[in-house]
Amino acid sequence: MPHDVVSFERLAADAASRYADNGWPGSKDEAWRFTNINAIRKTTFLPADTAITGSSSSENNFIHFINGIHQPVDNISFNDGVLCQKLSENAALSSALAAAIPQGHHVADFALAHASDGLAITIDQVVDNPLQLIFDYSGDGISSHAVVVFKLLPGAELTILEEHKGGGAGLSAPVMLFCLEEGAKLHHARRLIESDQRYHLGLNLVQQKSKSVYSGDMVMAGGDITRSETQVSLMEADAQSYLNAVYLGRDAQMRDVTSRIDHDAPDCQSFQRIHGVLDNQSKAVFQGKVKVKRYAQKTDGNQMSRTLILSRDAEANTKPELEIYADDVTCSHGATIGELDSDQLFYLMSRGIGCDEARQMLIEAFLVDVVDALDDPKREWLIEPIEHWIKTRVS
Amino acid sequence: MPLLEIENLHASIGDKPILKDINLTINPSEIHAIMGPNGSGKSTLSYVLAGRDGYEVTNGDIRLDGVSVMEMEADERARAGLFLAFQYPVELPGVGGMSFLRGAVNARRIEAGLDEIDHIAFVKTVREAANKLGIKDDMLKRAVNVGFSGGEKKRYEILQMALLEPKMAILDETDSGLDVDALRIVSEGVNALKTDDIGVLVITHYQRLLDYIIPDHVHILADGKIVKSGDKTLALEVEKSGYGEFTNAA
Ligand SMILES: Nc1ncnc2c1ncn2[C@@H]1O[C@H](COP(=O)(O)OP(=O)(O)OP(=O)(O)O)[C@@H](O)[C@H]1O
Ligand SMILES: [Mg+2]
Repeated sequence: MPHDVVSFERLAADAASRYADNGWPGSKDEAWRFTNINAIRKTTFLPADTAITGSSSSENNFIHFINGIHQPVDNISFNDGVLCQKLSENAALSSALAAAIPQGHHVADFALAHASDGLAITIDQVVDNPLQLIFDYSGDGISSHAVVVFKLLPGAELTILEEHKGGGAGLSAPVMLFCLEEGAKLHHARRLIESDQRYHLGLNLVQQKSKSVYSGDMVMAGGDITRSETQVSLMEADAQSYLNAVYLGRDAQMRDVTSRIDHDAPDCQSFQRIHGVLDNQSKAVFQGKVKVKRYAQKTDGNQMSRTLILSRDAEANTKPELEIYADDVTCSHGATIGELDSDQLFYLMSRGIGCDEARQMLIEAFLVDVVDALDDPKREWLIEPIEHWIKTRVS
Repeated sequence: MPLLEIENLHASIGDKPILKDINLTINPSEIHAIMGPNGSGKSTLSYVLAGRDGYEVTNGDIRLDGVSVMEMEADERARAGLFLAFQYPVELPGVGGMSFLRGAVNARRIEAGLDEIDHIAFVKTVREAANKLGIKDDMLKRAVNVGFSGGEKKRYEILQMALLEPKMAILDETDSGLDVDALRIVSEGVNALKTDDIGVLVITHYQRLLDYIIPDHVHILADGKIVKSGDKTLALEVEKSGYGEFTNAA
């Protein structure tokens, strides 16, 4: 789909004027109905200092961001199929991002309005070593807005290990776009493990051409208010998308997993599995919309959300939405919210296993299920924060 | 000293009294059998002994090795040497069999002041014990009880019993769903316990099991009460004439 050429500067300026008009979403905004962001709305954030940049290493295949700012890309040279540029110097990808930004998207507008530049990363072959994107945050009252656009050329394959960590009462608002050309495959593993005071509102946009495969696996374990939104467009036939997510909430934390999958072409498949555990007074929402266009026949769209509640004060909301205009489709959704199974707990305890340990075993089994089929190192890398959370929190 | 003493035991589920004054003493090396009609309270007795939540003991006492277990949670009772083979073993999706067995054995070892068991040695021990019970290696690798057939689940209960080496074992209808070979293997396992000074309480509906496991005492439970106790001939009597005579008495 050809689109108008939009420079990064234009994109940022347009977003800034929209943000000036619209600001943050209000509680009446349907997409934010269950997610209270008053704490964010009340804070005036200072955009991160662009002079402090992360380092990167082509040898070790990682790009390091400090408060969303990466090292100047002139200094990054990835040889094996990974080309990094400034987004401001890649008009094709800044234009692609401009066209992909959903209308009236508060977070995208906020991030783009404040971003100094972005990264454009082009993958033109099968890359064996995982590319690590490491986002480190620090400082109170600072907002970070990394903008990264990936383009995987036909047949290219990549694994991304993306991690958000660090402290300070700041806001992270990363915006990422992944354009998968024909037959491209992207494994996108993410760990959101920021410290307890932080806010994280992330947006991932995925555009898939024919026969491409996107596999997103996320563990959301950190932050005070953490929202991850993923919008997938299955633009051409035979594309597949997998969205797996684990979220962990405690104290008064807020967890938000929002997705939207547009089946715009026939014979595409989407699978979503979301497992969450909530303790104390934490709250979570999973809202997943699947929209199947009239000509997207033979669509297979599945969505399953399961939440384990460890405390009477915790609250889980699920909002599945199916909008189907084609007649020959297989779409399903399901949602369960429940407590630990007392039969299972008793069975373990009757073998001498202590109550805390038995609970930990059952919670771990429930969560690890989502990522169990992955190969290492991804599997280990995602299980680690799950185990850490369980060991330190469940008793 | 008796191994297990049940004294004036009354227990309810919610407001509903299920066990109504049970008295039973089991000494080391004794095998007791409990028989009784459906719904008479046999499984309830086994759960109350094992310390399951949701059952209110309204009166009476249970002592293991002379020590009251009334204030102990299920896991403490297990570590003190009580073992229950479930009538309906519970599936634990995502809980690997080996780590489950190791967790159970280590919990007992730690209680006894021993080191955690060596990983490799344990795998070998489990394989050997499983082999004797006709449990295939691939079953050990699966999640606990998930996808096991009815008979396989029962064998897996006995495997756990063999590994945990309890003082007092309660077998709730372990014979149901077992084929003849399994019945013989399981019975050999139980009979072996007798020589180790272990107390056994088998709950069963079938005299058939008692051909393999010779009980020292047989009790008939009807409507939450032990209405008759005797030796193994009592089981034969029940087999012939049913429970009619006892339920009327109850
Ligand atoms: N959770 C429960 N809530 C209410 N009543 C229960 C509950 N569990 C058991 N009961 C009742 O308690 C009584 C005893 O049940 P129990 O399972 O102990 O019988 P049983 O002798 O083991 O029977 P079976 O031979 O069928 O295994 C039955 O009337 C049963 O309906
Ligand atoms: Mg029963």
